[in-house]
Order: sequence, then structure tokens, then C-alpha cells
Amino acid sequence: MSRKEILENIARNKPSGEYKLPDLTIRPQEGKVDELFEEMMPKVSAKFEKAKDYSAVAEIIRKHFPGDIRIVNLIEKVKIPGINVSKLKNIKELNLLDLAIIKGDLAVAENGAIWVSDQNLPHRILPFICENLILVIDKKNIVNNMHEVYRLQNNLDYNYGVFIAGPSKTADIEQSLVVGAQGPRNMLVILVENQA
Amino acid sequence: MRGSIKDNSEVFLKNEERTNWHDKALWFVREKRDLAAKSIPEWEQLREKASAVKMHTLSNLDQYLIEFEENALKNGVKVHWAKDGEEHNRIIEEILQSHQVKKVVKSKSMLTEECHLNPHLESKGIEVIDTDLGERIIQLKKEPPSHIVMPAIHLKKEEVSELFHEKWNTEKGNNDPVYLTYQARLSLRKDFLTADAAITGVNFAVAETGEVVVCTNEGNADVGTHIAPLQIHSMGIEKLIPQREHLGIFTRMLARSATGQPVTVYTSHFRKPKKEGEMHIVLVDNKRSERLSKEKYWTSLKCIRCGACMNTCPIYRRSGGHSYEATIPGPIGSILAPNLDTEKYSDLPFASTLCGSCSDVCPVKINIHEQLFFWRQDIGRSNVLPKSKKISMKIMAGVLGNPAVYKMFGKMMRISLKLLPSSIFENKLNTWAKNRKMMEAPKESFQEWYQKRKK
Ligand code: SF4
Repeated sequence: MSRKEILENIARNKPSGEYKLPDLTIRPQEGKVDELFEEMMPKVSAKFEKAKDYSAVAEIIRKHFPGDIRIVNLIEKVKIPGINVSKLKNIKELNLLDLAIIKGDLAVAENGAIWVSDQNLPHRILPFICENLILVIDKKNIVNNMHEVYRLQNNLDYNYGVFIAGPSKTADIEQSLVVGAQGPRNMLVILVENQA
Repeated sequence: MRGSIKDNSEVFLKNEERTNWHDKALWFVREKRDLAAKSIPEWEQLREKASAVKMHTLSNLDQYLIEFEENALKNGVKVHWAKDGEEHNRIIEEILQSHQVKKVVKSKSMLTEECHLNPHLESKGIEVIDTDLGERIIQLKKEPPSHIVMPAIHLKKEEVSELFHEKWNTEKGNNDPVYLTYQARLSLRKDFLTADAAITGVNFAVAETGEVVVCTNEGNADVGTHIAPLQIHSMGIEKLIPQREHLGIFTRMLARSATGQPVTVYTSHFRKPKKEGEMHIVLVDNKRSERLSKEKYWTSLKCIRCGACMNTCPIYRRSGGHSYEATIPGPIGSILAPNLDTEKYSDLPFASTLCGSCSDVCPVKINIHEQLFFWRQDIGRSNVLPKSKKISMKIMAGVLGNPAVYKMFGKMMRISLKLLPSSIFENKLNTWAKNRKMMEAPKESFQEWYQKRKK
């Protein structure tokens, strides 16, 4: 049917010239990746903090969110109590969740993007449905650019994964940037210098 | 009947204040794009590579589609093939009906716009909510998008405020974009929580892994697909790339070209359905396979829909996207539309100065201005123009369709683009675009010039 017809059309019509795939080696940008990454944070409207280790991470989080709020914390090493998501009957109960604390696997210096995948997520909706999002990354997991990050992930086994660069935003009304569109309205990135 | 861009833009130009505002808003985005491109020393290299990846994929598209399908099926995804818009709509309708879907949330997709999916589903009693803010605004206003990245760029905040007040009873006269965006967030969140299915477009599809990649700033594609049990991704067959590694090139260029951001806030990779969820991919041809055979035009399939060629185009900026009356406006729209229906869109390739700025900013190096020129020749030679138009178009095609003249014209525009400060050059082109008499002026002088040369 249509599958066959489309494929036959393509086979008949496709250009006959030989077009080779390009070489993908691209020079990385100069500078230390952690410094470059930090520079990107305000540019993607994310707040940024450094923690010397994971116990310091918890302190930073308490400082930013002192009140009694609904939290989902997906990082065991961060001692902050929260909702047990495995007990949720319906993910819609997470609507208006105040804070999600999630581990990022890799971070990209050139654009501030952080990779989060369902290897770390019991529910894909978690980084999106919270009003505030905290992504925690280890300093050693910052890479230079997008080429490098995709190369490193080559054999990565995930079902869903996303690069997140800042809180959700829009400029659809007269080009004015508004932070907080359909996803989180605030994002804090915590860089852990010593992950032990 | 479709109105011509000439008549439509005359109406648009009548409101001078709005025209100037529209022009400036887009120029601002163009400048942000320039800064972003300049921040990457290897930008030109990336453009070369992006173009090469696309040409390679397109010239082996059947194999890559088969590979993609195989891997997507292995991932537990259902794959459908649609030869045209009608079949695409029917497939989606059937999937939705079989799940008794009453309400769908949709994130931005020019393809579903091209196929007119919304009216089709609505006629079958399925409610469709567009969830990108700009798209939601124009959906409420019952208008088509005027730009492929910023669909509501033609509207002022006062108009959005008025619209929201009327539809959602928001505070009258509150024109603050922060307030308005928040009100839309509240309304859309309710829709996300009550939708039975989510539909998204696709920016890139990877043959090697069978995954689809969707880029948004608002997070709407993710909120939609992760809550609703059923997710459908509609994609044109030209979205394919061979390997995951090639995503590096395109994700570095897309947002920088589109809005000047270093990357979109979300670059989401969907490989397998979520737990207890169902995932479908609809592959759509709609004359794309036919275009592959057109030697002069097949490379327009490289387009990654960044919108940069619109933001830079003096005609687009001063005509507005709606003047084109085509799904995709601007320079790229003017070379895409005639592929779908040459007669209907025969005026669009003439709505250009051939200045070449579109080709200069295009991240995948489509020779847009040259293709505009080729279309002029083809249209001038063919019998697709109505008689009244034909005479004047023929003259234009004769003049602007002459390689020597065209080269000269292109060269001059290119030089002025590079040399003049933007204010002067903008002014020049603006006057050009604003004053229809000026449209004839270069024609005359080039004719004279050409006549002299022939003697
Ligand atoms: S033609 Fe090029 S510049 Fe225009 S939208 Fe497509 S990719 Fe972007």
C-alpha cells in the first residue's frame, strides 16, 4: 500500500549522485568546561550553585526552599525527605508539585544543557510537572559540546531522554521573554565538585 | 480563492506603524541569530556538514526509512505510512477513535498544519488543543500561523490580552506578557491533565536507533506526551538523519538559527513508549518523494524549519506571514509551495528581491534565492499564470530570469548587505518593499542596462 508506494517513489526519484557523510571531528571550544558551563547558566535563565559534596547539596537546597513544600527527591545521596513516587496511583497527583530534585548524567559546556533520562526517572513527567526543578550534576560529567555528548552516549540504553537547558520559557507574546511556560518556572543547577 | 501576496501585503502595509513594528521585531531576532552564529568559530563548517548529512540521507532515503522503521518497531513503536495529508489525517483519526479519544493536546507541528489535521479531527468530534503558546493564541483567534517558529508574531500584546479576556475572562486591559503567559499556563495545564492523547511534530528522526527528537522551549511536547497514555508523532519523511551522532550538528544550529538561543530549552529523545503507554509514528510523504526527482528543487528538502530565512527577508518582514497564504511563508515557503501546486502559488517566487540573505543565513545551506529564480523561469515559461498576471510576470521573469541580470542584481544586493550598516540597508530595502512603484524601478533600470549590453 502506501509504504510500498512511497518507498518505490523514492527509489525511482532519489538523486543519483554520490553524497558522502561528512567527517564529524570538530574542534572543541577553548577554556575549562566547568567555567564555560557556569557562564551559560544565566544565559539560559538558570540559577547556579556549587557544592563541595552531596551533604552540601542538601544544605543548599534547604537554603533555597526552607518552607514545608511538596518535594520529590530522586537522589539517594541527598538527604531530603519527599513523596514516595512508587506509591503514586496516578501521575496526575504530581500536578503543582513544588520541587523535584533529579540527577543529571551529563552536562554540556557550550549551551548549559543537562541530560536526564528515564534511567534516572521513575516517571518521565517529573522534570516537567514541578514548579521548581533542581538538577544536580557531578563536575566530572561536564563535556565540551554537543558532538562530544552524543559520542559519549553512543551505546546508552534509554527509552526516553532529554537535554534540559534552563526553566521552560516562551517569547510568543511580542518577543518578550517570559520564564515559566508549560514546564518548571524556576531551575537551579547544583554542581558537585567532589562526588564521593 | 487564494489572494496574491502583492494584494495581501498592500493591505498589511496600509498600517504603517504595525508594519514597522513587525519589521523591527523580526530584525531583532535576526540580530540575535547573528550573535549566536558568531559565537561558534566553526559555524561555516557546521553548515557544510549539516548540508552534507541531509544530502546524503535524502539520496538514500528509502534505505534509511527502512532502517528507521525496523528499529522503531523493535522499540515497540507502531509505524504508519501516509502518502498524503488525507491519509495522514485518516490514520490519526483511526488511532484516536480506537482509543475513544475525546481530547488531544498537540505541540507545534508544521506538518499537521500542512495536512489540515485540526479541522479534520474537529469534524469528527475530537477536540484539539494547540499547546504551544503562540499556536494556542492563534487557535483561539481562529487564524493560521504567520511564522513557523513564532506563530503569533503578527499580534500585539494588547490583542492577546483582549483575546484572553474574551475567552478566559482574564483581567481586562492587563497587557503584561508575564501575566498573560501565566494565564495561558493555567488554562493549558487543565487541558494537559484531561487529554486522552498527545500529538507532536518531529524535528529529527534517527535511523540507527528509531528514535524521534522534538525540540521545544515551553516543554509542551513533554508535558503532553508524558501525561496522556497515547502519544503520536507526525513527521515528514525528510526529517531523517542516519545516526545519533549527527544530532550534534543539528542541535547546535537549530536554536541558534531560530531565536539566537544556544539550544532549545528541551531537546527530547523519544525511543520507546512509556510504561503502559502507546507510541505511534506517522511517516508522511505528501509529494516529498516526488520532489526528490526535481534536480533544481530537491535540496529544499534539507530544511530544518528554523525560520531564519523569514526573519532576515525584507519582503517577509514588511508583508507579514499571512500575506503569503501558504502553510509555510517567507523565502522557504515561496520555494516549497510551488512544488505542491505550481499554479496556485505561482506569484510567490516573485515576492523576493533575490538579495540572497536567506541563503546566507540558512543553516543547511539551501540555495533559496537561486531556487526562487529557477521557479521564476519555470513559471514564466509555463502556462500556469492567469492571462492578466502573465504579461507582467513574463516581463519580470524575462528580466529577473536572465542569468546575467540576475547575477548582477544578486551581487549588488549581496554587496550592500555586507557593506552597509543595517539601518541604511534596511531603510533601502524597506522603501523598496513599501513602495510598490519601486518594485518596477529596478526592473526598468535592469532592462535598460540589459538592452544596452545587448547592443
Ligand atoms: S530554508 Fe533554511 S533558513 Fe529557512 S527555515 Fe529552512 S533551514 Fe531555516
